Amino acid sequence: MIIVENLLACTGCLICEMVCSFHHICSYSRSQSSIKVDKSIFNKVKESRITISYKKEQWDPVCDLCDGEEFPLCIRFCPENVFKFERRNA
Amino acid sequence: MRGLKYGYAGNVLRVDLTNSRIYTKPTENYFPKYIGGRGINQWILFKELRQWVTPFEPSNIICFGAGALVGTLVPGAARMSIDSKSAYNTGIGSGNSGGWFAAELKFAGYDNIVIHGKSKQPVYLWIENDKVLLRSAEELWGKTTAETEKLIKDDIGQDDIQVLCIGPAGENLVRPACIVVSGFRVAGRCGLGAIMGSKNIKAIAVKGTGAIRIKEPGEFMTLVEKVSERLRRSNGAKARREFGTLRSSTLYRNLSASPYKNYQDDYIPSENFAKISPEVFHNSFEVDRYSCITCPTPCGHVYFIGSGPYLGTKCFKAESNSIWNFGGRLAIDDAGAILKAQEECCQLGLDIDNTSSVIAFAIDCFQNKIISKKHTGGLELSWGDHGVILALIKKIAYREGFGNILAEGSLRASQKLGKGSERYSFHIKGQDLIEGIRSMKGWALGVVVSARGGTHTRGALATECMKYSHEDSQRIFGVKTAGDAQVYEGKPKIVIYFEYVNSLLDSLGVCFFTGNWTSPDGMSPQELAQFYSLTTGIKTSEAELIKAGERIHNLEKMFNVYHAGFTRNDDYPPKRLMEEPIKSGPLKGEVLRREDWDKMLSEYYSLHGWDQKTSWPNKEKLEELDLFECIETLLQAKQIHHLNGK
Repeated sequence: MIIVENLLACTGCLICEMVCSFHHICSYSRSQSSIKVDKSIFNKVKESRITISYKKEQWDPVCDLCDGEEFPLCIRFCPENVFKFERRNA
Repeated sequence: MRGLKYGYAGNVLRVDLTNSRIYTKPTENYFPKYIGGRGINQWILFKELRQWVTPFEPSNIICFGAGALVGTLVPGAARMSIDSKSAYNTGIGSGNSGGWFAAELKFAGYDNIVIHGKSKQPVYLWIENDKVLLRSAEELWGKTTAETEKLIKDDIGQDDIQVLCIGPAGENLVRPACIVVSGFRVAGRCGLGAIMGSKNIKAIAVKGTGAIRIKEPGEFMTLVEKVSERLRRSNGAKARREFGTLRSSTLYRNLSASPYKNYQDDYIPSENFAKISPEVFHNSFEVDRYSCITCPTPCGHVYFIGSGPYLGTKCFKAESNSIWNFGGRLAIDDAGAILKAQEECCQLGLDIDNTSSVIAFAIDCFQNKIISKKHTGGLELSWGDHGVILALIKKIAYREGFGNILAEGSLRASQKLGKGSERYSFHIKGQDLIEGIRSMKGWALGVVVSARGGTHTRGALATECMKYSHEDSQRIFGVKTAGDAQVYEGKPKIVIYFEYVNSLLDSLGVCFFTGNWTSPDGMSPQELAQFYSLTTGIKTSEAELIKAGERIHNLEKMFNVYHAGFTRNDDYPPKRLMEEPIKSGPLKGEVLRREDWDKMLSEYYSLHGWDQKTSWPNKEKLEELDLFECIETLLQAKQIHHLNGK
């Protein structure tokens, strides 16, 4: 599964959300991403948080580890190396 | 209603506040000729605004344009251009902001928003995809920008939305009022916040769940990856990651391009600068970093003041301008106070450039005994006194007492105060000047000729400060002098290059810092053409794209011709900067020599195909650029005889 290894490095560029939606629908859309970034600056007081959906009960589309891609796109494109791939079940 | 175009969202949202009428028009009416963002905004303004409309009248129009590549993964494609008739003069008013708002707008299905008319009561515009509503802003009126954003999120019941808004300054029609986007990004200059205020519109909030499609997705992603990697490794990106844009304040200061005490000098003394250098902000106050949407080279930094009189202040953006303005122009030698002033302006909805300039004017007048405590309501004005400067910021935002005069900008304030006070007002085309322009000649030319009235974000050469090598300069611009600050030769050609390219960047919605404005490693026009072609499926060459940039630049110029009648006389620096040399620092003695300026200006007009006397584009140039409507408009206004300089 994809894990958030370095939350503090996240700059809120949302590139992960964008590439994730690209994997799912071949277009860019924040709402079609399995990742949701809530950088603290967006609402100014809360702690930063990155959530990845692994079950439909969380939200759709769920992360399929970029099935069909050479490598998960969020890991490949994140400029700050926030994400890491770990071999374990979700 | 959703358009099916690639890259574009497909719709221009039109809002008539007078009749609460909301409708859409297809974006394809405007592209590829005007690309998007600023280009489309400028065209709508030229086509629809009449000469006799003054900035604060309901008939003025304000346009918000997300660039053509916004909402895609192009590095730094996060920008929105905001354009209207300027609150400072009757010419073009233009601002630009980063953040996350522009992309959200496109996901909601809109490329541009065009607002005209005036609402009877305060309102804000709520856009949730196809659902667009005007909601009451009675409860928001008078609130700071952070309070406004929070109250709107509460009102809508969603946190994950984007908001742009004005503060009390905009409501009070204060000319230095700005528009605050996504909480702390700002479209600062030209008094755009006051334009919103004059229309009784406090904010725009947007939530979009749609998608932006790419015509050639595979090739597009390959190019994104290649370019992003290169940008990330560039020296500029590394420095911005560490210091934000603050880092360039050192470079400008070392080139004697940081106005000190209202242009008494252009060099901040070393003992002062040591207390307000980028390193001080970085080491003492920085707590977090951020980037705008899709930017792999973050320049945003969050600062927190943990001790002293401004304890507890959190500031979400400080720019090179913050040091120029508060540290140099007003001579504040306390980094914490600079952050406090920056944050105060953001909360009240004041542009730091125009606000600090008019305060510098006031202090200079006070120090030279043109005004006294009688004028200032008992305040003793002196350089670097941040307590008083903060008090003035508040007075300006609320038009209290002396603040009511300063809220008009330094030119109008000097006209009101008289007694020779105009000597201390430094402005270009009526808007306050903020840049140090005596030492860097190409930078100066770009700043002074800019249509919106004094700004370094049109053709001004950052290449001089960044010291482009002769080889890079020759390769990119066809002349060697881009990095030679004190040289006049070759500068008009490079300024024009950036006028076209920066018009394009604002229309594509791409940040200057991921373009090649500050670094030869930045995205080239050729790469922009590739991105535009792959995104939209409209095959566009580099030359065609540059031509569109030229068209948009000329359109902006034509707005000034038609609405303000600015001529060659308006393209000169303030007289004192051509007479009084820089007093200290490595470039002591530098001044803008009138005869060299004249020569540079003549070459600039001639390369543009503009008339030498009027500075206006000639008829052949407008025909070449397919701007026949501009000729028509001027014909109707009986201004056509000026087109050929007669």
